[in-house]
Amino acid sequence: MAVLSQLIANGLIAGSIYALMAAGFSMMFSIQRFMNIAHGATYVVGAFSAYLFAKIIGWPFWIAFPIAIAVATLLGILINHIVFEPLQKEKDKNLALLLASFGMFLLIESIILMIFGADVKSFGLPVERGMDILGAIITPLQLIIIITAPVVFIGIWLFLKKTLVGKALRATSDNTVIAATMGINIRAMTFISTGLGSALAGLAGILVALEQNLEHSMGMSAILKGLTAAIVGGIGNVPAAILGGYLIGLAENLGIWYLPSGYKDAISFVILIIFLLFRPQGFFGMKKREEVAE
Amino acid sequence: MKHAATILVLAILLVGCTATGNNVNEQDVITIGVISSFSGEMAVQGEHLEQGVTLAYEQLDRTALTHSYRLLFEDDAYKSDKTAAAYRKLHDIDGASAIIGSDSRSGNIVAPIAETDAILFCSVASDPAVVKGRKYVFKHWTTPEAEVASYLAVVEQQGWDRVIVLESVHPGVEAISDMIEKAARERGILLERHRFQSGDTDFRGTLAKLKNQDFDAFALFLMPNHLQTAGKQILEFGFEQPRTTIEMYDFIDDVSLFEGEWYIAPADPTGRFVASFTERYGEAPESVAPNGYDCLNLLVKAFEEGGTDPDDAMTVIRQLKDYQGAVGTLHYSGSLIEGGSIESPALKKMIVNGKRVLVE
Amino acid sequence: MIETYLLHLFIIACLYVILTTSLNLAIGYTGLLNLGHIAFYAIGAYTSSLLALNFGVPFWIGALAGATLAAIVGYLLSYPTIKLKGDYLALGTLGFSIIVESVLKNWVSLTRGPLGLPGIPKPSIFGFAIDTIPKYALFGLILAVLVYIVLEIVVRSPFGRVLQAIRDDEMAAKTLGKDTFNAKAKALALSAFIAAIGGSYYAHYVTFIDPTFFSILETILIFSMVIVGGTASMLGSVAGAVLLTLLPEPLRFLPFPSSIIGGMRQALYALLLVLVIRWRPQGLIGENTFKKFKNGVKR
Repeated sequence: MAVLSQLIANGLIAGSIYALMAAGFSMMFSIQRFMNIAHGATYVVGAFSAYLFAKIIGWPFWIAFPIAIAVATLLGILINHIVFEPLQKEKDKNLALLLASFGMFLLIESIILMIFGADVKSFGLPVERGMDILGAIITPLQLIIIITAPVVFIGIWLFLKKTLVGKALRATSDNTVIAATMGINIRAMTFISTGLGSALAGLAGILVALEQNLEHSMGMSAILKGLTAAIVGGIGNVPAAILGGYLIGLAENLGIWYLPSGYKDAISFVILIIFLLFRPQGFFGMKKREEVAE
Repeated sequence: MKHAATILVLAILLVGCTATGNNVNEQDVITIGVISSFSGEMAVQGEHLEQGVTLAYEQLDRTALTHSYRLLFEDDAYKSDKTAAAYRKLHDIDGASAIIGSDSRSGNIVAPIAETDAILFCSVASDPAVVKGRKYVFKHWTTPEAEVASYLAVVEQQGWDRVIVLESVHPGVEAISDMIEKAARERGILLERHRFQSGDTDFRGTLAKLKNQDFDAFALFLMPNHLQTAGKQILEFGFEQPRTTIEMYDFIDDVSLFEGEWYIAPADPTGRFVASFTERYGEAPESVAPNGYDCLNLLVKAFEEGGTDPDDAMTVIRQLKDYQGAVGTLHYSGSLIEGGSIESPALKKMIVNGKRVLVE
Repeated sequence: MIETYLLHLFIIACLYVILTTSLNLAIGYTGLLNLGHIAFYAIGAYTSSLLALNFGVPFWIGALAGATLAAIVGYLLSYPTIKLKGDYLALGTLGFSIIVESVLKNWVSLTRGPLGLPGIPKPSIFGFAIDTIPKYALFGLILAVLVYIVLEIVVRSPFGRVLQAIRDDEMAAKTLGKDTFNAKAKALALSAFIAAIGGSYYAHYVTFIDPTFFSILETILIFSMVIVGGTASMLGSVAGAVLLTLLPEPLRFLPFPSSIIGGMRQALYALLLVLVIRWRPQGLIGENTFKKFKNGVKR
């Protein structure tokens, strides 16, 4: 029984990170309508910025981390403005945008490699035995992750549901044309969704860097899991993406109860494929089905 | 505007291809090429190799040498077709007479072509297939057999019979893990293997399953990022079993996480090497750095004492005995059929006060 | 001496021509955003290598066996992906290739896992051994030209027109009575078949393969070649393949300090890629990919 609660705890920890990535990704996708692989690079930049400010320069965490998130946010907005926006006008933009986002991802990863070198880095926080909660062993930092993520998500949910800007975002993601007719500034929406999404990625990067460690190539698996979670949850719908993240996290961790550990990554992709087969609009998706499949 | 872009790109290509500037024709200059991964996931390997090789190169006493040497590095981004291209460029365009390589994968790609071209190839690899049946290829890495034997000797001494292995999916790891599992079975020791892909950094699921089971120790055959995470998570779970490994504690900067643990490793880099390395780079040498250092020095020695003829140069290598390398006292062992290796012994070490210390 | 280096590049370029044109059949002509293409490449490489190493099967049989297997897998892959469109198909096929990569890495008893398969014999076709680099270059040229011709014939044929119709408007094609599922499946199968031949061609050239070949980065690379070349034509794919194969090579000659060569070259490569896409998004030899109906029926 203790094993089960441990696996669930693990699932929640992993799921929190996936959900953060998925939420950010989904938020951007809902407005921009393309799969932005460079989102993974934003995650890495968030992590390394935090490392730079807190560990190398030596600022206290409560200063370093918000600045790191700001850096990630800025990066996401910049990339969108310089590389993606101009391509949005093209006729065959989907392929071009996908490729451009891959290119930016590679570019940023290489720059990080050049600046920080290839060695694995860590914050070197003291290691202590975890607390026993309901049979599961969780460290304080992991507890912080499990609590912070939902707090952030509730904040986002409130933002989307209650504030004017949030409603405008949702309207734009539903139907850009009508939203524009209603007087919503689409460019502002893009700006906000990109910024917010990137901030989430930056936060995810910092949490992972603290809890585990950092290396320049950490972005690819993060964006893939985020993508998967976003689709499984229901593309274009941020709360759905969040739930998708937790779903994937739990599935992976419960899955390796039976399967050899080497197949863990494959689990989320098998789930992805199953969803694409039978329910491409995702778990919680609603009317987006016709955009996904026939 | 759009056409300009195309023309610009093509122009860069053209200029690049014709700028074969490095083509040196002097008789006396011997070019040694280094192929490794300097970008991508395995970039850390290239970084360490480069550090070791460059240090050796800088320390060469030019006045005492008959020939002059040139060092060139090529990145293969851990992709096989790039490895082959790197070799081709070094051999065909730069006229390299010898190559140094950093892992079994690139070793397996370069070895057959280096052999055909009669180019000396020093491969820091563990896979015996790299050197098998080859005249001009030799490897410089502690043999898995030596490490496995040492490791199991300690395991038996401790009276263990069930060890949990956490391993990264990686060729070097696979080779050792396979070997040790078999050897352990012969001695009645159970080695239970759990594999983790490179993107997977969460060991807690497996640890959860092991929590209430009865076993004697952990064997962590993990790449650096996995190693630190797993080491940490094991402690967080409150496991009391020892965390052992082969080699891997030499691959990370900060070993304080593994205080008090023992492990098997190739002989320590000699004090002199460590001192000059730390002075040059500001950090301790890791993984393949000392081997790179030795490879360069061995190749220079081969050319100095044997001349530029590949067969004569290889003879020098094959006669190697009691050579003071960065990885201790080296000697050559091998036959034409099984291929040659520069071997260094496997020793037991421990982490004491955050430092790596030789035991007995 | 420089010739051998250039011949090696030529051999690799031929490989990517084979991979790119076959992928373009799926992406550019049928509108199937298949990011799982390298799985077929892997199947071809591993099949012919394993057959040659374990049973001494000659290259041409092994390659054909691998290609057939890949084609069957490609055909079957159509079933689950039949309903998906656009980016979703991309993700599903990407997931498929990750699963294949997982299997290759974990099914150690068959594939030796991460250790890979060394010592793959060079091909020998009907007694004619292809064991030198110039011979392999000729072999590559012949293969690439053959593949190109076959694909050009296919896309200009009535079947090819059906594929393009599906790409432009599948609903309409169905209304006109075309069995779109069958057509898509066949396109995927053919694309897989050719990619697998490419895999065998490559495996027997470098004589060593391991799962690192078939990584996501490889997928990105081939995909970029298709886009950069322009999805509108096979010639575009050839151009894209050649360009992106050659692109990193001149970067070797730029003298960067050895401590940053890896990162610097990859950064430059990525930068050039982004610039090309940014300035010429329709590719080198491209027009609008998703054209309106040719008969002048505007929508």
